[in-house]
Amino acid sequence: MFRFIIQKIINKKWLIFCLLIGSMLLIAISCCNPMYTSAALQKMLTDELDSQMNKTGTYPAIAKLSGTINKNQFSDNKKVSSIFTDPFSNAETLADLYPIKPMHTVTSFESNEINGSLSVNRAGVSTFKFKVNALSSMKEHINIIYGDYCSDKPVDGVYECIISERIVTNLKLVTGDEINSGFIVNGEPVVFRISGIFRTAESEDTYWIKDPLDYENSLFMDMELYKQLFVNGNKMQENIKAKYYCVFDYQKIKTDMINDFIIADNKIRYDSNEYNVFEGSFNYEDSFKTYRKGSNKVTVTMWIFQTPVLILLCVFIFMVSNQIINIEQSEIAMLKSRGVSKGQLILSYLFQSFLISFAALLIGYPLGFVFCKLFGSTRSFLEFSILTTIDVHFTFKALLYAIFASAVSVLIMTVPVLKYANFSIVEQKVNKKKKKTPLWQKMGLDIILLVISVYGLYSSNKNKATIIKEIQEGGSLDPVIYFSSTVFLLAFALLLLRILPLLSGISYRFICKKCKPSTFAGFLQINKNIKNQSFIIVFLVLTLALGIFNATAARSITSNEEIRNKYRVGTTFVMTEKWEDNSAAIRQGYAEKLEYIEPSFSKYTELKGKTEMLTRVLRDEHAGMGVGTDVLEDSATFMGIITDEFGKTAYLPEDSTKFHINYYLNALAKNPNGVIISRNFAQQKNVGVGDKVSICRKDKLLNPLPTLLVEVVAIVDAWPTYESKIYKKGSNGEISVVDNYLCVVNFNSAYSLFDTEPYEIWVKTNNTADIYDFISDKKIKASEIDDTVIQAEEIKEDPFFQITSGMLTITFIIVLILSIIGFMIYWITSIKSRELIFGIYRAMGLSMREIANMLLIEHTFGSVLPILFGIFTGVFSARLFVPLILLAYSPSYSTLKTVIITSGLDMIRIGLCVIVMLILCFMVIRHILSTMKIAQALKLGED
Amino acid sequence: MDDFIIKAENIKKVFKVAGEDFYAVKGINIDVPKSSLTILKGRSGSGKTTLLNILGCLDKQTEGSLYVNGENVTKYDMNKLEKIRRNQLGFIFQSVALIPVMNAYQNIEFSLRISDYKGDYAERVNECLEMVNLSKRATHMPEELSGGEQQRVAIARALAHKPTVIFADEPTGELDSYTSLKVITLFKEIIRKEGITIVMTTHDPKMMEYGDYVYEILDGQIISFTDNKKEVAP
Repeated sequence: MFRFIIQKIINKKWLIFCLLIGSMLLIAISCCNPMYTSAALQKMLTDELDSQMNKTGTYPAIAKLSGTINKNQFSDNKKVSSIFTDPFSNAETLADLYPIKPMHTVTSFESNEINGSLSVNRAGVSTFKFKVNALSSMKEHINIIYGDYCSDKPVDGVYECIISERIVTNLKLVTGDEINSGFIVNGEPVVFRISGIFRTAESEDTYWIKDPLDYENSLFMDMELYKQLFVNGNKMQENIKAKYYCVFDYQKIKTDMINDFIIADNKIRYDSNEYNVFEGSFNYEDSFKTYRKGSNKVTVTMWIFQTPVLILLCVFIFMVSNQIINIEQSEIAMLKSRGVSKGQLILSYLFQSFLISFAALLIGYPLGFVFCKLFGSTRSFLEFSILTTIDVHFTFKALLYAIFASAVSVLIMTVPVLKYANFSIVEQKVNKKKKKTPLWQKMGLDIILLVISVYGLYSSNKNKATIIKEIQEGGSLDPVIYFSSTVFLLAFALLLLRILPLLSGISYRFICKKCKPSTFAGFLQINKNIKNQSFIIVFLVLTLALGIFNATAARSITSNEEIRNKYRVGTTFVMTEKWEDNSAAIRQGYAEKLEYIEPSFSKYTELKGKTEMLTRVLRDEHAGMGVGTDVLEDSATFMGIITDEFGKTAYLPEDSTKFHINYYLNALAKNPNGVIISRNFAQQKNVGVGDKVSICRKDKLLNPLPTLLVEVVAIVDAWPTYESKIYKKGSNGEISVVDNYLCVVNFNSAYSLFDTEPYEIWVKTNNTADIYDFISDKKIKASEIDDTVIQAEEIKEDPFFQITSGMLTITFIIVLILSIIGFMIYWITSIKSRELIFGIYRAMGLSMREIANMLLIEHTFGSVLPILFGIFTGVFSARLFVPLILLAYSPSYSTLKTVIITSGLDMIRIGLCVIVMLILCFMVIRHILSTMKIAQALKLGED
Repeated sequence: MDDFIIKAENIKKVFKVAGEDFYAVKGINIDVPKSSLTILKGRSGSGKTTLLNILGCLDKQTEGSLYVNGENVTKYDMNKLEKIRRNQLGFIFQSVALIPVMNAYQNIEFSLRISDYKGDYAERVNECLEMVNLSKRATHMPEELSGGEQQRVAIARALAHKPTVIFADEPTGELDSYTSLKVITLFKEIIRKEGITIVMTTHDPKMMEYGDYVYEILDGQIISFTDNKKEVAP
């Protein structure tokens, strides 16, 4: 049997090759899911912790247990924790709870403040308060810059300590100083001596959770000696603040460890509640929470985008397998007639499918790895970078997925044989003659699917607000939206099957009265054969429509995010310099009015040559706005702009306002006391151009500033940085959506009324790197920087966006491969199976050209029309569904309209592929026809 | 030469088989008179179908000359041969070979469209259907017809555009003896009514007596010639 199957495989090598490709892609895409998801999640987790570190400036993976060890509790020998047998043991037992070994396990003790005085009086140093601290393993993380490290034994009854440079300044202590303390042990005051001054050994040492320079008055002792001093026998001398830290290497925290981390954290928390001595705090918790929200989103997104491809691949395998078995049906019927049992027959095909799937598994599994790498290097749709990549590993789960996919592929390959395995040669001939309207058409499946998808679209549009809210709360893309869009594509493809015969029937009726024989034969072939072609027609429509849909979705997702981000920021680069002010003096009562010292703006003129344009913008997101005295506090975004500079610097997408931005700026420039307001304010307060509006603001200390009374000169729907609806946390803690107004006034009128206050520097440029050079050259201290160039890069590297772009790109490529292969298979096998008919045509005197013409007509209806229809369906469905899909990515009531981007380049790519596919196919067909000998073709018919 | 609708002189056909020359037809001379039924008889592999294909301009001979209707077509290219096939020749094949996507009527109409036939299509198609006694089956698709009926449609298709010669390759090969007899009788009727010449191959000895001229072929050569017209002459 093995030889028989191998022979069969060799005979149909091209079709088998197609099966192999389909199966290989199915396996690759399937095993991609766990491989990429795990790599992407890992990247997400590390990025999250990384960004926490950047935001807070503290190391992001620290588990801390802290509390006061009360001398009374300890004396009573009362247990203070289930984690420590003895609170003076080190933090190792804490570390044991966690799944990875910490980089540092630190125990820190700190006494209460003790009174002290120098044993030998020195000018300028009287009595002072100090603390005695001990840190485990401190010696390994410091350098003694003066004197010696403290001894681990009392020296002549004196306890040695080391101090940081800060203490030298703060307490004016030097090496060799002896301190008489108010700390009494056994009736005697303890004397401390400064043995040395230390500095941290490395500047970026993660051991130092608290910088030594932040200890204001601490003397550090040797840990063991500290314990001896403070716990004399079983009796504690003083209360001690204890802290136990575990500092984990955050890059080594794997996604599968999170649960263990949480279990350990909970155990510590439970312990804290139980004994009420220590309190646990874990600074990675928020990152873990954000990660968990995001990970769910990533996993669901991956599945949502992957499922249609997987279905498409299964359909492809089924189609090719069906085609093979269709060709072999006479052979199957003959074998059946000669006594081969159904079981034997199925077994032989099962074995053949197994061989193909096994080969596919061997290639598909590593191919999945390559796909993952490709996903990881995706920057946007069909755009890859070798710089951005992701750490992908072969995993056991991925292997299981691959094996499962290959098993599915075996089954799908074998299913078509079940249909024929029951028929003998006689039944097969009888069945061949039966031609019925397919069940789906009778049932009107296309219409039903269309109704379902349109309903899905309608309800999703209706529930937009709920969807946005869910996504805001960490939900992922609603599968109903993607499902509806896929069903919509399928419904359209099936609808074409209903329309095509009507179309060709009408064309036949109008064209064929006296048409050429080739046209006549072509139309008849279509009319009669359209049912046999239905699969390839549906496939072509689906693949192209899905390709275009995905391309549009991917482009729109990244472009909208970039546009919205740039709109949110206002221009390419926005920065606020740090302004010195007198707020400290106000707090201490030395001053009343907040005053700023303006850093020189003239230095920015140097930057003008390197950038397109720059301007100053006053901005306050918490302004109050109203009519007369009816002012609603904290309800508006206030802006003070220099109109001509602003027009050249700010970014406002086209079509977001009724007129060009300059129209509004001109109106404002003409009236020094003018204001541009937002449409929502105008509508709600019934205000129009010419009406007066009051603007109330507060300074940063929340003292009211003078009210600005201005005249409305223009009303806008959108404005750089302005959102008409924002999220606000109410007093009950619930987040709600509220209206946000806008008021834009002339910079000078605002400046004269509100006095000097910090403004933003808006820069329009192509290259923000020059600005950073400028900032560092001029030693500018920036309090805030918004760089859309960097943010655009971050968007592209965000795992969520990367998965989307990657998945959509891969889908698009696969779709193109499948349509080319599917198309070629169909046409080549169709031509091969019609060799006899072509022989007859040729014998009757039809020339090669006429046969080619006939095929062209067939192609037009069987391929070109489905291709055009597929493109139309893709574009049309993208217009309907992509705005809903975009909700998952930019879930806000954005003032900007969603832009659906169908890239011309993508269309050209698709068009080129289709043209190449058609030309290639036509060349192959022509080759088959030209090498076909009439006599031989007729002979084939006899056989 | 005018009396002969087909005249073949020293026709040879060589095929390459396993790198060696194989002579399927070894220098055959044949004359087909107008309005006659000429039968090429022989066993399978004797070369009769190859010869028929050459006479019918479907295949090119390796050597020898061929005249169709007095026209020397020996050196004609495929385009010219196509034109001859289209207007002057008709074909009937063993494996019926109706075009499956066309009904009986359309199959016949198609041959009119291919040729330069100037008359009314519908009239001629109905005339042909009547001749083969299938007027009632005009709208039936090939798969809805029996083997004999299909062959009759094929005959109607072959004669529709009024060719001078119809070539039939084993037209009764797949038919039972009763249906075969009906087909051969139909041939005779067509020759009588339409004045068409028919050249057919067969391996069935029972068909011999119906042919006007019978050539027996073996190993690519004519081994006997029977002129039935002569014998029946008084």
